[in-house]
This record gives sequence, structure tokens and C-alpha cells, in this order.
Amino acid sequence: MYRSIVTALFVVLFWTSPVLAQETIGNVKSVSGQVEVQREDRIVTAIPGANLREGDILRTAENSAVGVIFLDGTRISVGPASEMVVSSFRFEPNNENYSFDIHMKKGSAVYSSGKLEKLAPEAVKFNTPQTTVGVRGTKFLVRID
Amino acid sequence: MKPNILMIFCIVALIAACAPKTTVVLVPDHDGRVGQVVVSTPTDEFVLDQENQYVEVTDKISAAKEMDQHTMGELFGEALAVLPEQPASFLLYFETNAVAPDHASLELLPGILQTIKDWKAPQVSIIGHSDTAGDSVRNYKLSLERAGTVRELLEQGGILSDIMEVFAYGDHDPLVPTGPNISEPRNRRVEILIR
Repeated sequence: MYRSIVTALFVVLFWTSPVLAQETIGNVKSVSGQVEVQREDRIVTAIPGANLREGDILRTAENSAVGVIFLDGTRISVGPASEMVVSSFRFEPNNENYSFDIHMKKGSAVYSSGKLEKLAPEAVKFNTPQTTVGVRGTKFLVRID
Repeated sequence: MKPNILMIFCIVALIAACAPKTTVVLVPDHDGRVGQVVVSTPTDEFVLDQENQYVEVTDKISAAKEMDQHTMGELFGEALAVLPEQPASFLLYFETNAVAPDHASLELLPGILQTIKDWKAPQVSIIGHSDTAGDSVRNYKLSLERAGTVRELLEQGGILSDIMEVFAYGDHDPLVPTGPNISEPRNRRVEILIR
């Protein structure tokens, strides 16, 4: 029993997730200064038009910023000296499967709602080390000091 | 004695200033509406619902205050400056069971094509919808076919298929919420979202 649960977990964690993670969930729209995207252990310079995937980490240098837009129209911009992880993004209205988790480690950001929030507000969670922000149809600013 | 008290005061102030904190500010969205954000910690929760209202969160949530424009610019200016533009959205409507847009909707096409061509690095989501009349699985297929037709129309209008993505929501995202099995013209639509 225990063994089959472990096997099932293994299959779920290591087999399913890489397949799902292949999908594009949004794009980089605007870059100012030096911005990088880390995907697993690869780091690339962010350029406008670049695709984003679940799990991507955005990092900005001093005096730098980046604006991204997700498939559902959610917009996020990240200010200088920041680090933000898009931990999950699931937007499948036909299956009513929604999830949007952001983990901001440091820096500042602007969030503006898209369709995902309109269809499933409880699915959106913007996390910082101190708090979790839930959204009810709007725009907000977050900064970690 | 006096300098010591001052020193203690400074140290306390310094520690308070260094305690990691998150500031959350609620601002109006692109059309001026102010929604709500729920700020929570494992032990506490506060709902921001006023324009430019903010709290600071350490291990607890501060009292809510109003942030002035100058401070907002200092703390968030760089991030605000690169926030992508609000996506443009167009709706095309369909007769019952039709997979091609109605005549009035087809007339919108030239304007839509122009908007896409003028947009900076555009990505286009084409989202098909149906009303709730009939079977849900069939409605999903219908919404997918509608979106496919619109994609072809845009391609014929000179839009590269690389920047377009087709979605089908079936009857799951009605513009006008209805009960099941309702024929509703406003729900038989394809949304073109330009972002």
C-alpha cells in the first residue's frame, strides 16, 4: 500500500509535471535594464516577446524592470532588484481548472487582474515572505523591504 | 543619562526599520474601478477596499493608511512604468449553431486587424464561447469551431498564425449568466484578446 502510494506520488511529481510545464503561460512584454529568466538550471536574458512557463523565475538588477502578460490577460510588472517565481499558472475554463501562484522573494511589483481572477478569484495567490495577497478584481502594488 | 536613552531609542527604531516587511497598496485599475485585496498572515487578515489604501505586514498587519502619489512614485515608479498595456478586447457574435460570425460582427474585422497590426509585439488569444442551449460537450466543440473560423479570418487578413492561439470555453464563461439550456445571443461569441 505504502509502496504504491510512493510510486503514484513519484509518477505524479516526476512524470506529469514536466509535461505540463512545457506550455507557454505568458510573455515578456517590456524590459528596462538587465533582466533574467531562470528556467530550471538555465538562465537567459529576458527580451520582449520571450515565452514564460510555469516555474520560471524573473530576476531584475538595480535600476531594471520587466513587464509580463499572461495568457488570460493578467499583467504583472516587476521593479528593480526583485525576484519573482511564477509557481503555478493553470487556466483551463472548459475543465474549470484554475490556479495562479506567485512567490515574490524580494523587490517590488504591480499586479493587474485578468480573466483568471474574474473566473476564479480564489485561485489567485500572490505570496511574499510576510503575507499572502488574495485579489478581488483589481490592481495592487507590493513591495518587500 | 540622556544620550543613553537616545541611543536605545535609535537602536529600537533601527531594529523596527530593519524588520522585513511587505507593503501592499490597493490602486484603481485601468478604468478607475477599485476592487479589493485580502492581505493575510497565518494569524490575521485585512481587506483593503479604498483607493490608495495600504498596510505594512511584518509578523502582524499594520493599521491601514492612505499612500500619497509622491511616495507611490518613489516606491513603485519603475515597476509602474513597464506595466504592459491593458489588452484590447473585441467580441464577434454568432447565430444559433453557426460557426461563422454574423454580418454586423464581420464589419468589425478591418478595425480589429488594424489594432493587431498597430500593437507592439502582439499576441492574440481567440476565445470561443457558446450559450447553454443543448449539450455541454457539443457546446465546447461549437465554441472551438467558432474560434477556428475567426482564426482563419484573421489569417486571411494577414495576421501570422504564430502569434495567435485558439481557446474554447464552451458554455463555461457566459457574458450574460443564464440557467442551463438557454439560447442567449450575447453568449454565442468569440472574443479576440490582443495583448
